[in-house]
Amino acid sequence: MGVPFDLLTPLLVAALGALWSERAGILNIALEGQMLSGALAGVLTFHFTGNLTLALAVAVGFGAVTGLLLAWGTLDLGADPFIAALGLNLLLPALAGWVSFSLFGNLGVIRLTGNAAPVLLGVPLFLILALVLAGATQALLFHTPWGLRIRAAGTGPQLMISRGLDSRVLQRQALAISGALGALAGAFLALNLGAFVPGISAGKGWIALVALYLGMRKPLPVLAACLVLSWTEQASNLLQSFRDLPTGLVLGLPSLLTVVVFVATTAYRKGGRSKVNRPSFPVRKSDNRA
Amino acid sequence: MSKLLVALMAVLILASCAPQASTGPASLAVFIPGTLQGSPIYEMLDAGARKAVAEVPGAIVKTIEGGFNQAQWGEQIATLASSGEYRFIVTSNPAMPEIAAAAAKAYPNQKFLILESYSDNPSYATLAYNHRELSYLHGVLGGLLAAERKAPAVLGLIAGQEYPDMNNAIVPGFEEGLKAVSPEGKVEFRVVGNWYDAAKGAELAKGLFDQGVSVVMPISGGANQGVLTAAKASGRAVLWYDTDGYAVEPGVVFGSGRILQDKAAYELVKKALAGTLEYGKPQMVGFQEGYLDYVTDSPTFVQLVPEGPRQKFEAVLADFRSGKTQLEMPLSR
Amino acid sequence: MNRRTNPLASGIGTLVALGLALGLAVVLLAVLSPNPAGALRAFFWGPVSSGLAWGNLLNQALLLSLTGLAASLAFGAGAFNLGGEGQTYTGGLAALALTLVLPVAWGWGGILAALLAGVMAGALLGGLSGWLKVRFEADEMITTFLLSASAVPFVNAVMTGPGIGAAQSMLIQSRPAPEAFWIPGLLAPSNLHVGILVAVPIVVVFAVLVNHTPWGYRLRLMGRNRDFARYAGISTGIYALVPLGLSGGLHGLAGALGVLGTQHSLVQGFSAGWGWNGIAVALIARSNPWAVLPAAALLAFLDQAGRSVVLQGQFPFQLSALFQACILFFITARRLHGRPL
Repeated sequence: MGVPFDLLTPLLVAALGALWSERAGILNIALEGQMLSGALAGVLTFHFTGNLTLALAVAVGFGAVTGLLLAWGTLDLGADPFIAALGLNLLLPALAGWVSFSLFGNLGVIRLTGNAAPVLLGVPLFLILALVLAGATQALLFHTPWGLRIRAAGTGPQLMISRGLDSRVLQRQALAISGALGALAGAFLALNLGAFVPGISAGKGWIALVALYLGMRKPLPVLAACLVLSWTEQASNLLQSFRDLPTGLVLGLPSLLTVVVFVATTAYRKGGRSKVNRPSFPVRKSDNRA
Repeated sequence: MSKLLVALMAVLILASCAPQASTGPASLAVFIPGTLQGSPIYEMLDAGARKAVAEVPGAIVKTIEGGFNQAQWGEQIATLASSGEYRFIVTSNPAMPEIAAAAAKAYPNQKFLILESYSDNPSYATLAYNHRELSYLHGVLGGLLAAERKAPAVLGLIAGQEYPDMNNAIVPGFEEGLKAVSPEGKVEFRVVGNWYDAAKGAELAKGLFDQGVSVVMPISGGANQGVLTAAKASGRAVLWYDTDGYAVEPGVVFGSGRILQDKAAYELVKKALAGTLEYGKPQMVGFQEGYLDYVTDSPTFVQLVPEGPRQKFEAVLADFRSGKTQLEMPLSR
Repeated sequence: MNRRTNPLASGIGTLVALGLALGLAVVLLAVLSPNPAGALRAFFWGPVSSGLAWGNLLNQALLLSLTGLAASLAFGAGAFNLGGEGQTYTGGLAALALTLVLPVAWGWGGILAALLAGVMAGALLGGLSGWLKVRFEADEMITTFLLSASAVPFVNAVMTGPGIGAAQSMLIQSRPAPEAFWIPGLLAPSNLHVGILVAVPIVVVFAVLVNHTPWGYRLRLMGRNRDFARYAGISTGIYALVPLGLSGGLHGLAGALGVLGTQHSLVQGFSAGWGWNGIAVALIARSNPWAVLPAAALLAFLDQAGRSVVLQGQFPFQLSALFQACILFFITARRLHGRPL
């Protein structure tokens, strides 16, 4: 059982997207929808142009736009971040279906001809890019002043006000990056498979959130978490060769293993409870945190 | 401002209370348990029904997609039946007779044409396909291909989900066909868990290929795409279950079965509109009746399958078509 | 009372949002439907146009009230219960499994016992996340989600397995419960049944508990400011575990009612989306149990209206989700209806 590269790459990129948003204080729950629409954007572009770079660029651009949309809804319109993201998660697949229908007259599968997933020296290109992105996240978020400011925005308004900084600009940037990464993850997923299938993201946007917290909100542990998650999925697939095991049990195993690992790592973490930035609790009256 | 809103809403609601225009006698609803586009089996259903309707002047047909939530279909069918607008509701799915039972009971004048199902309920006219025969033939071809490649006699079947027809007819039929070629053969069965996770389909296929399987038949909807990609990367063969799939990934799909759902839909609807359809008398059809077939006249098939196995296969197929060989489809009702 | 604490003022704000949302619905239908008049008629009139429609509408509104209350209780105490679907599904299984072993003579006693089993199954699942939070400080947002995600395939395996699986069915479902344990239906063949009416008194009871008792006050304090609650001496352990257990239990009850009242068996996937819908209700109701009933009614109406439009062929299926998304968005975009952030 080797390293499941194909499972790892999209999950890692999506988890990085979750990380950027969470560190800025607005957890991006719309990753699932962004992955799906990014997958379509990438596949469509490659289908019409045959240019891989362009396909990835379009996916990234589209994802950034959806991230900005989420930011607009949350920061400018005051919508609840949870609902706004849920709304995006409903909107994006529907939009994808509409586009698919308008262009091809069907909501179904788009299969690519030609190789959309090049391999460099035996390593898939997408994996290399994903690892580069992880390194970039570590460098930018944790070793630059800008990254510091983004993380400060995520700790709450007091610090920002005292320094005269506007957290909104930073949060907007973070959400744009988050959306771009989510869409890129979807593009990697679909281009690697050489096809777009409605629903191809299959819940990976949610698993990315799990990977984020399992990885203690830092890029390198998140990479480790993604490895663990990919391995449990691979183990589940391999277990299917034992037909005596009920299929339901085998399919539910990855989630169960993940809970155990999550609780174990939380329990043994040094330094007590880590801070978790969730969307503000939707309670009435003074739910005004600013 | 709020007064205006209230007034606007009142006007709208009153306007929507206007009586509906009555429909003519021959009206049909095609209810798709899922979505139309991207599902060949439902596209054929719709096409066949529409073709029959087009031949009858004044007949109306409406296609309604029910979405993927099985638990909602009963409610939707009941709503369609309660409206009284449609003389016939046409649909296709083995579970539909049960799902529509409450509606059939509450609205006894509503007639249902349900393909891919088997029921003697007097409100229904049903037609079921002999999946055992179809998968048997796939098993035969798979076995011949594996033998040709000097690979172990193990075939792979990747399903979206487990359901009665899959477990009782398709998997056993597949294995029987394989054993007819290689008596020691075995089928490796895998389940994706849904009908769209192409990445998981690819992983499951890769696992099978690592075990030495050389031919795989995916019946998993969108997840088939992952299986195709994995097969292409490993140089293995794929059997496409119920529609012509040679062009989907040239060089990877070696055989395609066919369910003639459009023919069945056309004939059923035509009889219904003419008033000659018999209700409460379920039909089971296979190769002999002409509703199941295998696509052997494709140049891809001829090119990919060497002559020896191809002729053996076509002999078996001919026996099924003529009715010389017949298999019984287990009915778990 | 200032505008924020005046329930009437905030109610008007929500009504304005509702008006805007409906206005948007009208615009979308008019623009995107091939037959705007027919679409509008289907939208506004469809959900109430017949006994069947009313039955389905009421059933959905009441079910949403239960799941909305479940989510509200969790949110109100500062916890995120993302495992609603799994808790509902497990509750349904527990209820059904019990009916298969109880003596038929129990009648209504059996029904109550089965409902209780559903509640307990859901409560255990939710409470497990609560316990993990208390004992290991494991974030319940993740654990509820993961436990639910593992519960669903497990339930699928059990409900089709020996003893419980349906032998004679093409649907992926369990055996039907004995008829003695079927909750009587209303407005047949709709989904409505007598049992679901219990949702109303339950919501009222919790509304009173949460808003007018010391216990409820402490709960809300946990949701508002956990550190202050701790300083005030409130045992954060119990007040973390209990809301999650309650939330899970209510989800389980919804599942049990659905199984015993509507389908009379456990049908695979029946609880799909129920968790999220409950969360949407809670968010619109701002976790206030009093507002859960109207919020649930609103969402149920919008859902049935959207389905009615598609069912009458007046709107392409794939756009109904887009529709719902826009509506949700409008209802919570506070700036749009003039409330300060």
